[in-house]
Amino acid sequence: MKPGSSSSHPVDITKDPKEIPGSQIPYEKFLDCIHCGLCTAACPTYLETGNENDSPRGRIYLMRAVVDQRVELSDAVRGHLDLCLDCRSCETACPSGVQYGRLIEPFRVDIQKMDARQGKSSQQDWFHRWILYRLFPYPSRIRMTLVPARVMQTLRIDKLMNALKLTSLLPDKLKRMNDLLPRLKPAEPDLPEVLPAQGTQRARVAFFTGCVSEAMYSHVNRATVRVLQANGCEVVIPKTQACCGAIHYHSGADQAALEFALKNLAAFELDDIDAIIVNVAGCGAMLKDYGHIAEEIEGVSAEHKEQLKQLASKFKDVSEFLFELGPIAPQGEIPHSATYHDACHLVHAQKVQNQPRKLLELIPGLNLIPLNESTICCGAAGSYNLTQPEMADQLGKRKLKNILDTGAQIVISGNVGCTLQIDSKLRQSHQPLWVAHPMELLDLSYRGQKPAF
Amino acid sequence: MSPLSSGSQEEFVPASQTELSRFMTENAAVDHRQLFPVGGRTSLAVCCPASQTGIQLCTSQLNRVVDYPIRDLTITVEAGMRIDELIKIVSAEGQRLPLDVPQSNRATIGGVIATNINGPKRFSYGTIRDYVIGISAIDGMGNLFKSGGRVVKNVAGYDLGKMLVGSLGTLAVISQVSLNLRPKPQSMSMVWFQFDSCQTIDQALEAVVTSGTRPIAVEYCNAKAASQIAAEARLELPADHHTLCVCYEGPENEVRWQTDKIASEWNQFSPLHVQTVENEEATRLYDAFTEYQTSSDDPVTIKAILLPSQMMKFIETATQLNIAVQAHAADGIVFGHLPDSASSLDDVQQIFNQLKTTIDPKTGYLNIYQCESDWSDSLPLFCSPPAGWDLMKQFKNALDPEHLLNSQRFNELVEI
Amino acid sequence: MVDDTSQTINLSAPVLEKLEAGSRPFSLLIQKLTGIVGKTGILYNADELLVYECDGYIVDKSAPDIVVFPTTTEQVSATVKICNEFNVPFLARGAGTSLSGGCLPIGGGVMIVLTRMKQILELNLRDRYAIVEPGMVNLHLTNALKGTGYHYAPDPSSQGSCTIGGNIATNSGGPHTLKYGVTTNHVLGLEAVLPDGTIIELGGPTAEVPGYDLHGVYVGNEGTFGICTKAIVRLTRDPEAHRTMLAVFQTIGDATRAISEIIAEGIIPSALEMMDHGIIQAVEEAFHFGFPLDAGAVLLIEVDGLEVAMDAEVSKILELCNKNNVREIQRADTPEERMLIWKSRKQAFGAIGRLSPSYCTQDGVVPRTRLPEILEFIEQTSAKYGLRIVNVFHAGDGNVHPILLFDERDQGQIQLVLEASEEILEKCLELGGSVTGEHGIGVEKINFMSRIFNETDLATMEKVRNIFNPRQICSRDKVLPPHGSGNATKVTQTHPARRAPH
Repeated sequence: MKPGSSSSHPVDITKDPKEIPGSQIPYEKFLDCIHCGLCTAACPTYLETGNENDSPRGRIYLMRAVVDQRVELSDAVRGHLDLCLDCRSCETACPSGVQYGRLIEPFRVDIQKMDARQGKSSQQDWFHRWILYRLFPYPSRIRMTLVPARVMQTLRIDKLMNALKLTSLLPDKLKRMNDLLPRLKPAEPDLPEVLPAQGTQRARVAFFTGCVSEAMYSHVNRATVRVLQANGCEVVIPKTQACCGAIHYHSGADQAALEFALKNLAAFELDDIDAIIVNVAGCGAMLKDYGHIAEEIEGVSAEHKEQLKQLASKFKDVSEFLFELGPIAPQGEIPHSATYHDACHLVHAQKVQNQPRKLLELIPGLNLIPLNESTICCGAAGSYNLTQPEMADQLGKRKLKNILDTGAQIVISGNVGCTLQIDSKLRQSHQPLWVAHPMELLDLSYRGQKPAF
Repeated sequence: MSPLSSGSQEEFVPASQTELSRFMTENAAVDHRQLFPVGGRTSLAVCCPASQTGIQLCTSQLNRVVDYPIRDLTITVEAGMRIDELIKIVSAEGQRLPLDVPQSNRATIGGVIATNINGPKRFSYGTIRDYVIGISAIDGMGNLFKSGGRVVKNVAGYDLGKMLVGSLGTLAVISQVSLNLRPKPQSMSMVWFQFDSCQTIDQALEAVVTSGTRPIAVEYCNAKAASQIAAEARLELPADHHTLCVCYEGPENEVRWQTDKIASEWNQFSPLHVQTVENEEATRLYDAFTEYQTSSDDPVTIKAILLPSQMMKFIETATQLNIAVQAHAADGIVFGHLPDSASSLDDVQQIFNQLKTTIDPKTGYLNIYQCESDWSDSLPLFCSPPAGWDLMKQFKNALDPEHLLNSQRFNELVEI
Repeated sequence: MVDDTSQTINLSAPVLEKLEAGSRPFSLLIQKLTGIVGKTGILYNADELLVYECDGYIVDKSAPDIVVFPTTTEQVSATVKICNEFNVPFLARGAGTSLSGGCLPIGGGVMIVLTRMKQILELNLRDRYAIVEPGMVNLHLTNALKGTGYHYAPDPSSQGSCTIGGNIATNSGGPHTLKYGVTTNHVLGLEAVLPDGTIIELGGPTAEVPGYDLHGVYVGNEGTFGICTKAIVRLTRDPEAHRTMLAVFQTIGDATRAISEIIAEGIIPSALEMMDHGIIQAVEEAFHFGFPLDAGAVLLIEVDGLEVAMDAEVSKILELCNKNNVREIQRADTPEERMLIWKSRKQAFGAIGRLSPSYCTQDGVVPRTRLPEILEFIEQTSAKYGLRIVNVFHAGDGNVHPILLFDERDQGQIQLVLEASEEILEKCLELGGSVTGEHGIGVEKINFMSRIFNETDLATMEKVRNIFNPRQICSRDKVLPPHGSGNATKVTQTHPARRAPH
């Protein structure tokens, strides 16, 4: 082959644009990529495989080639795109401001829709139908589902099942979910709708509770609210709020996602509050993207687009908000060593990196040890853990090694997905580390209590 | 200009690079005489002197400054420029070539490149390979070629300058060179430490790796060498034991802070004596270190290239064999002047064999650096061949296919 | 062509011009290579080869026929031997960040991707060296050294993704070269697979080795001397302290004079990054840092060294800036303030992206004191062609990176960008400089080689290349222009690159 020529497939101009995924994405967004390659080593999957097809630059090249009809969306091409964690680490590395998320996400939605039209939708399989759509959006349902697990854990039947390898009889994905399941704490009583500020009131905020986190980590939500109160915030918790819709959006169900967004739009009184506080990075990234997503989903009214943009601008990660507010220094000593893991959806999607560290540095006695590759994904990535188990495991092990190398006693993570993944990897290797949310540590320190783990 | 007779060797002194090129082209086409490029003739004994007949190509007339854009900190000179002359020119502008060259009143810049001469400062400033930004040379067939340029950052084309560094005139005659310069520091001081044993020295050297100071040079000498170096510098310095001498440069307050700091850092190794040498005395002492490595009174000088962590083992044995040892200690470069008692070839070979036992041939080299010509045929130049030996032969064949350039020396290089 | 029965390599056989996918030699080659690297170590379907058709230089494209991912030196050597047996060209690729087409597989063939050879084999602080595999990302080595007090000094702007093997091939520089030197000053030795498959070692962990400095010759070969499989690199002591300043000048001339006077004072700053008024305006339009819009130059100055020396150096620098009509100066003494100052430099490229759909970053060098002249010339060129050209560059080394803004969908503009680039590079040569300070010749600037070097120079370089690569089977048609004219594989530029920040 001579330079200049390229191995392009003949362009079929008669092809319906709907059958070409990504054809609705503004072409300038592809052109933003100048092919410099500065993103490659920031990509967890590329770090593992070393294959340019598994890098952000490569994936953009592939998507653009599909749009240009230089290649078909073959199984191989699709495999490389599916392997993307959507961790957005590449966006942090990119000097040209390429919005990678705004390429891969709509592209994947298109693929899902094409699949649906061809009757091979992943939305049709039992796992997506029941677990992802019926269970995850609803904390009450997750909590109900977890009742037997709680009982089993209390009676130690789960350990027995593991010992007898009975869990291996479960379908693969359920087995993985079982592996991920943390040691559950008793569910907390429901939060009231308004909680007063301690001392002088400095702000009035709403709190986004999330679905998985409220079901499995309700104690983290309580800790977050207490920290906000301790910092002079009145906290309102609207009962009508809904799931952020991230899981749905990312598996191609954009209309379902839009419905959740509109529910949330109705639930929060924007004029009344300074911010809506989120303590789960994955939800926060989705919520802050409502404005962009509304632009991409078909059939959203101009009014809704504008309102969703305004709603999106109100969401703040709890660390981001407290740092801006000016945190009141906690006094209780926590004499432990800890290391902070950067959740992708905080550091890359929301650019929240220093704020949690600065807050944690305020805790007397807490020794923060830097974590190597702290910004590389742990492999959790939403439902990725269930859909790409092999890569998720590789990245989980990589993260585990880096964590153990620090010698820390506590791993701090600001995202429930990461917490599940890291905790699971730690348990599998019988490591007694505690995976904590930054707010749990701050809460303990404000209350003068010591962690028990 | 006609070649001058000089013993078995005639001399040709070209007035210009083109004249030299023309001469060499004609020689390759017609006469096929052996050619020996010489500069200041300070290193004729390095890697053993050539004893063949032929023509010496003397670069003494190729001594012009071609271009000195002062504020760019670069200079382009012909290869026969004497080092002291070069120092004078750039020094007047507050600049220097941060290399240590013994006998700088004779040595030329071309010779420094061909022999890769360096000294104590190499620890912080590197060697001549790090300062050549462009080079012109004439190969065995008389082709005048260049590579690089006159700017400090340039990646156009292959870096042929590197192959000429240390090539001992066996590939091409260097005719012109562009150099990167540095500003002169404001002041320099040295701290002279005496320690009781090689083990303590080794510990102190290990501590330098993470010292709070940034030494310019870390020199070692054993008692025998220390007394000669102190005498050469005309300084009253205790020289009964192993000496480490650390050098600092920069603004006075920075230098003083560092000399104090190293003294307190090394206090844990209980030095027998600590003395800071400053100002003009420091310069004298520094120059004595520079000159000592090649002081050629002794019949045989050896050079060992070792990993710093393995150096003291070698030095301990060498000291027991009554060799005067100086080392650029943080770089693992050791020079040893054999004692006068080593008066026969047998003696020398015996010493050599004992020294070899302390060297790991995979990560260390022991070379004859200078020796009397009548022994040169019988002494091995290298203990073991360096990496890339076969390729080196191919370089010779490519640039000097008729083996006209210093070929005896090249044979010594390749035939171990 | 291929002789199935014989293993002998005919060195005089011509290298294949084209490897037909699906042909018998192709299938055999895949079978043999799979035997070496395994099924997970090879790609040969067109849809997975596409991403390998170019690197950071996207003007010319040519996909390889096969990509392999070896994990050991022996696999590299075996692959190279098979390529010789089949007369198929091959070349190495690391992260593919070359800006001159260094990993463009001209004529297709086998691409040997080294990203799975990325281990640190040895870290030795006492003897100040590290041995790494070539696919190691530059920054990962420095990250691994954190806390030891040492780092790997060469830090090209792409250090977060480029590999050490690639750095060795191109002799990479970076913003700190003025004080710390470029890659060649930090490579002690290496292991390489020669283009005939032989494994050789050059140099070593010691400070020097006897004989010719062949590892020195090897660095900067742009992949044409073989495939580096191991690198022994020098480790550098971390500076104890940093000070960063941002100085706003009325003219480029004032800023350049200030630089010369700072250096003449004996202070070698660790970084000297300049932005001209064009880029200042762009950065202001995009980010509102608060630079005066009529300023001629903004100079980022960073010094490092011992804490005890810092204050005196800073006050001297301030004094010299004042002497040269500095308009205002901003100091950063804390790490946070330092980050903020660097942000304006690093975000400069994001700003350009907002101004123009496409841009082309050139790479030229002039003697530092000629900076005002080249920048004036660039301004004239900008006016002459009606193209917006802005400058952000390494001022300490005289390494300019004019950035030409255009719209790649407009054919007319493309031609103008090519002509303007060429004029600027010609001017760099006229001022005593070079057409590339750090991006390399590759395929992009191969036509300039005969303007920089005469026939004897090029012939000597070719002799040296032929020692390593006599068949031109390894990374063919790079660095040196082909002999004679009308060579079929000669690459002509038809389209300017849109290229990365440097």
